[in-house]
Amino acid sequence: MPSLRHAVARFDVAIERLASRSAGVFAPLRWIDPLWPLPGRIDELARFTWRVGEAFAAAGGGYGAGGSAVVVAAAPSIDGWLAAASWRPGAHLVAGEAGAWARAVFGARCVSWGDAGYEGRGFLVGPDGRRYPLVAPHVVRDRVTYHADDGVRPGSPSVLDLDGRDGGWTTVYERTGVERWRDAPSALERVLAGVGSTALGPPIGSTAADVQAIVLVPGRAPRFAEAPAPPAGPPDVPSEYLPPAPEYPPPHAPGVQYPLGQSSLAAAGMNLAPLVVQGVAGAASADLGSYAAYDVALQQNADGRVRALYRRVFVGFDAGGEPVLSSVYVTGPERNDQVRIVYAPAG
Amino acid sequence: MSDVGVAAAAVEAAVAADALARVLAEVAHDLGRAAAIATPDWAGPHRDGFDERVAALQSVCVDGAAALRVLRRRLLEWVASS
Repeated sequence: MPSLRHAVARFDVAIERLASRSAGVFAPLRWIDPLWPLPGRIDELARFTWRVGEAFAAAGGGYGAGGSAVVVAAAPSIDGWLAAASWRPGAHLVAGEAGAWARAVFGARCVSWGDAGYEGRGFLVGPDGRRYPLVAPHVVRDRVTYHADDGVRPGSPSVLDLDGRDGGWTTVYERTGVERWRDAPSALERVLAGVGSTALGPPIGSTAADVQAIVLVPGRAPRFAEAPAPPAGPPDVPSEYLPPAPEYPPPHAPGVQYPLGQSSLAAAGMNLAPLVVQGVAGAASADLGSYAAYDVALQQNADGRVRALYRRVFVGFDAGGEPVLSSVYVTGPERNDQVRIVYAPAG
Repeated sequence: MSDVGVAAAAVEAAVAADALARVLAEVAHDLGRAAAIATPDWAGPHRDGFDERVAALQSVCVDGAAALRVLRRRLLEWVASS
């Protein structure tokens, strides 16, 4: 039995030959075989099935008796593995009840480190379903506050264990990638943002292409693999034409008052044209700054505590158009739940 | 362009349509068999997605095979009458 792809190709050739002999040499150009997408869809199903097979294997399943390619494992563990494969940290931020975050971070202890500690408020629900308190560690060295290491030698103090004050952490899960840190704006939000960008310039933030140029290595400050392109400036707009105000008020309206700063309603109408042009252009770019590179590490301590270090890196541009990186720790589900990171140089 | 040449091309197309219809029927059967083996103890949203994909592809295969058999019959009828 020939393969499906081979059979479709053979059928295609035969139909084209028949069409050219019966309706002219150009007739085959009009023939599009509707079955061509089918092999691709079956390949796609095979890939999906392969992922399910991976899920069985990851869930600890084994091959069934008889040497068939059937694997067996508990159904919940398979769905759990598949859910983990599509897990995105930004979609799993939750707020904590009063006192819950402190209890999760410090346990039953009462601690005061003075020149070191954690900031945070919320939790990250990991792919395993556990709630990990989001923490932003900091230490003060020579009156400078640092939040992360930019390279640390083995045996040297690390910001992440508060220079030895809170050690014993082991990373149990880590993921890096690119994420959208806010939902796609609605049409109205796009228009409003577009009007805003008309007045304030292009939106500031990272595009998906910008953040894909970031190299994120655990324990190091982020850096660029390649310099991203600076954001485009405002679009060219037609030069404004202001018709002169009429010498007399319109007929039958002797008391008409023109808006403040406008000498003519017609002139005001003409003024709107370039604003709309810029507004549309701004609306089109209103969602470009919604991406960040991320590095999330879920850690467990020898004493049983857990925590999440969730770092986001944004791309911006300085006044000279040079790309700059800024990093924050995500500490909760709200937009402002973040702590700007200062990296400690390698000692 | 001779009628003989067109008839030969029509026969060739009928044979190819028949071969493709057989392969599609085989694919539909294999999909159903694999799905039946793979899914007896599996429930949840991913199982539902898997079932939907298999059913959609089986439908394309079965409908495509039926259409190809109709095409084959009409081609052969035309050759016989010409």
